[in-house]
Amino acid sequence: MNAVVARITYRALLGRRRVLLLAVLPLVLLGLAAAFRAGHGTHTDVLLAHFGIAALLPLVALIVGTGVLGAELEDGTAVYLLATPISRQTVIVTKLVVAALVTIAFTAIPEYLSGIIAFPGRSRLALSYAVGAAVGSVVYVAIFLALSVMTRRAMAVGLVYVLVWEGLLASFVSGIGVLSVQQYSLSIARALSKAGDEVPATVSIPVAIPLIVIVIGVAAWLATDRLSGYRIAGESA
Amino acid sequence: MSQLELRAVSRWYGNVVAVNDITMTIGPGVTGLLGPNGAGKSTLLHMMAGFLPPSSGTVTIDGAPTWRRPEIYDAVGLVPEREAAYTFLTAREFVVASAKLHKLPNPDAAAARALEIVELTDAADRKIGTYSKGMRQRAKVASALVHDPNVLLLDEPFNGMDPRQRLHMMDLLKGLAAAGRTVLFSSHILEEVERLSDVVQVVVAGRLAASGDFREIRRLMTDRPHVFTIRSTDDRKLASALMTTAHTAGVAIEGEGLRVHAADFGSFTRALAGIARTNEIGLREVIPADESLESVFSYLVRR
Repeated sequence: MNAVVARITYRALLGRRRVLLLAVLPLVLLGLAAAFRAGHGTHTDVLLAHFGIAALLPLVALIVGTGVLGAELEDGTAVYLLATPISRQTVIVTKLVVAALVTIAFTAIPEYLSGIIAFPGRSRLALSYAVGAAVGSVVYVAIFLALSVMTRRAMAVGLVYVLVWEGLLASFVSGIGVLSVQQYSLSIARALSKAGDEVPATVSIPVAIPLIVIVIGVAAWLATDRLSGYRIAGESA
Repeated sequence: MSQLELRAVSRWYGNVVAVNDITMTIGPGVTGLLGPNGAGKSTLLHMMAGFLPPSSGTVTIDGAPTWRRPEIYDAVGLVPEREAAYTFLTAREFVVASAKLHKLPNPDAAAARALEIVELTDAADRKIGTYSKGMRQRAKVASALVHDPNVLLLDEPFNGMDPRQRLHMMDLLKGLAAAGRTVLFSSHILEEVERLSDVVQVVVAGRLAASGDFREIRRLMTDRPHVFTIRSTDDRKLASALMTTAHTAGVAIEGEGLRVHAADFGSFTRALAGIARTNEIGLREVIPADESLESVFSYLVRR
């Protein structure tokens, strides 16, 4: 961790217009929660899993994860950061921590709030989903951060991944659940909530936890390696 | 004292060769990297600064390769060409951040000193987003200077600066060179390089076209035959007068004036007015016919 990098990252991230989008998405979740409460809705999975974990979480993580470093790489300001002896691993770890904290703030917290708003008396379930969302935040931003160092089209590639892999395949093809961040989040929510099948998870905790660690580790390593070989685009390139 | 060394360095992008087999050594003092736009100057600078690997050959600073080695930045400062900056920071915040990233013992004092050097102290607490191009440039320089590097690399540093800022920056770079630093800057403007550098590396189309003392290169550039188009009150009389001097290699009378081949640039231009005065001829127009930088460069390449 490096405090200077963290502060600049945080200010750059929240100074951009995309931050409005970050605020809108959680508000939609909270709005839905209020509607659930008004209509005495009982389908906790629809609100907390299908909207909260499957839609809100990856989208917020995508915006934040591709933004914490990708924006700097794209506009060229990353040079000022990289033309210093700071280790590239420190840069990546710092960016990862900032991205994860911001994503948790915009996903896990609204997830918890919408849980207790929509389903009074189910605070354990709400908290479990929130923890699931928090863990999912870290995994997602690690993936999107790595993507942003590997390609200039990280936003597009990430969106395709979220919609096609996480959205379609992982939901309908059960074997792919093992390689789905959404399923890891749900798996944690299910284990903590002790609510059984009410939480639609297809991956068990003993499988999910090692995979979570591996995905974060590989993504961070890839990002560090690519950042170490960062090139300023040449005149003829 | 630091030495930058390129050995048989080439860099290509797909089929395009940006830098072609360049060998050069850059030591303390100011070195100008001169060449037309697109010649490969930035590519060279990026390789020196560790932001691009050479496709072949080696780029080293004091014997150590620059690519994938962040520790070189203890001794290297880079001022990139792109104008991008953290617009939401003030110049002071930006330079203090740079000082902290370099782990300087007293970042605030180092930043204040660097801002003072580039004369940005008065505006240091304004956001960079509100700056003019020249001010941004100076903020970038302050951030690159904050750790007092042995090697300072600047990509087209005078772009967007007004003449006064330009002179100030030149003094600054000369001062660093006098203190034993290795300063390298790229430019496509002959006069900038002439005024500032002791040593010049001329790059044309990815190749090192000339290298060494500027006076020597200037002589090569100016000693080449020059062509002028001249109009006067009496073209024929001027033509015959010019032909009697050694400064003139040939004269042709062409429609509206004379086309004069000068033997060499310096002595011809110095002698012309005197010749005209002695013969009571008024000069109306003297136009160098081939003075573009490209023609100078292409002459050097052909040589």
